[in-house]
Amino acid sequence: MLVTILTLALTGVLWGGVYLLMASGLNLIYGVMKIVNLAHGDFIVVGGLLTLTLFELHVNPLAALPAAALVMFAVGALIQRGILERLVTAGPAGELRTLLATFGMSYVVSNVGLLLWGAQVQSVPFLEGSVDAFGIRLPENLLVCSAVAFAFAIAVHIWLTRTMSGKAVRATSQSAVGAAACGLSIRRIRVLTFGLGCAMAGAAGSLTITLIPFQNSSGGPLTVQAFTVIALGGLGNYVGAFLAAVILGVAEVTTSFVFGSNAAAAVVYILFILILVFRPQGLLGRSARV
Amino acid sequence: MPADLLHLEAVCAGYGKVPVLHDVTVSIPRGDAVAAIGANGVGKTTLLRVIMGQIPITAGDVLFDDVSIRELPTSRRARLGIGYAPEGRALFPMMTVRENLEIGAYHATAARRAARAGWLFEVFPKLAPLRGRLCALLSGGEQQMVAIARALMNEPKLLLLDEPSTGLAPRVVGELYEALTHLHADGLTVFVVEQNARAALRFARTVHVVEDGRIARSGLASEMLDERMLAEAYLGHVPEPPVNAP
Repeated sequence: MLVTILTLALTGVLWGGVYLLMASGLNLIYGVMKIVNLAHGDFIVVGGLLTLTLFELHVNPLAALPAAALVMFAVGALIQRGILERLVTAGPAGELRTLLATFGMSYVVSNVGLLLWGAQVQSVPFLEGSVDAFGIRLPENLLVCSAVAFAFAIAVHIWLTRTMSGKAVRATSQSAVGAAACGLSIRRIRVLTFGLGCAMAGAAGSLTITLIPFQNSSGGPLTVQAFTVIALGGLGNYVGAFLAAVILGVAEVTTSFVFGSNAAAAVVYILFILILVFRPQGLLGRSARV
Repeated sequence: MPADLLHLEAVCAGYGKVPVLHDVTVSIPRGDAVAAIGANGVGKTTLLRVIMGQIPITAGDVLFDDVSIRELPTSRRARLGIGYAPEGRALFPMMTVRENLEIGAYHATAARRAARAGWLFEVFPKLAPLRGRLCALLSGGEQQMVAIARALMNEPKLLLLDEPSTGLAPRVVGELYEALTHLHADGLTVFVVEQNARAALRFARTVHVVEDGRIARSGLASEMLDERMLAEAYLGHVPEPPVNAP
């Protein structure tokens, strides 16, 4: 019994790492620009499918990760520079415009994925064994992917809190007027932020496609999953997102064990509704926002 | 070297289709301490926003160091040497005092930032023990000091202050203006807009009275330090008392 509980808890925490990376890009973009990127899940899918293409060219999925992240950074930067920057205006009107734009973008990206990779479900086989210690058995690919995802998300957090460029991004998220008065180019910071958010989505996709199969239309559920993490943690809150990702991972794995995998898929949506009803500000609200 | 550090020539500006400033001409001589006073909503903050490029001008020009900055974004104007402590302070509340100051000199070297911050902790000694505290946790007066210190981090030629005394106790306002007086004495050009006319008149050498988006009167602060003229600045025309009034 104890071994089962520990296995469920550890597996949940490991999935939490992957969810954290999936959500971090969305969180960063929302935190700085107040844009809810409804195409985020589709960027995760494209990152995964790019990894698939590189894998078919005999590139290790972990080696493909930086390439997928880099391509998605460029895509994100171009989208911000070419489309979203033109829609950003102060107040709710700007937020609604960018929301609708990313909604439309989700369809465009999904259909480009359909043209390039087809509609079939695809995955990348990677480290298919398992690690067994003290009776606890954990999949090797989940262990490695979770470690990489945690490392990536933590590296971004360190960049945000310890470097001047990261501090500039945080400053802009807290007061664009103050940041501009300090000589920061808000436009450049927005391009950097959206690019980085998309790069994180691409990296998450690279890892996730080795764990669960993707198809071009998988983006919507992934967006909801990422959004659940940041809503549960508190929009724009990185510490909250970390806690929320682990909670979501453990809840999914436990539900899957007790009620089956179909019920686990519903957990995300149930959790999302519960947050909206009972704690719309999330676990940590705005109190520890960076 | 031009005598005027900043010159606004016949500037018109507003928000959307609502005009606020009408044909405003103002000069800020190098090394001077200038104030714009007037009642709430007459266009004082808009004047500073125009100088910083936060709202576009519909006519006229803004010259800084004799060069038009009309088309430059706010960030470029800041890098040219205009320090700005905006209305509401616009601090980074979830960053520490030190981090706020660091961002104020983002483009400087780490050594220069550290030296500048060290000097500003001497100018505002109250901030020194608070350097590791989040700005959200500071009092209004402390936040105002951070806003001014942050605007000074980049070694500006001109410091713009928007209502620095708003919401502060008279003692804190006194401390703030004392620090500004020292900075001005060291050669810093300062332009402050204030509703607290008394504080502004005591600090500034030159004063512009703003009414309905226009410069209604300009002159030396020493000449305006008169209760009757202050009342006019805020209340409009004050009628002469009747000759046979008691």
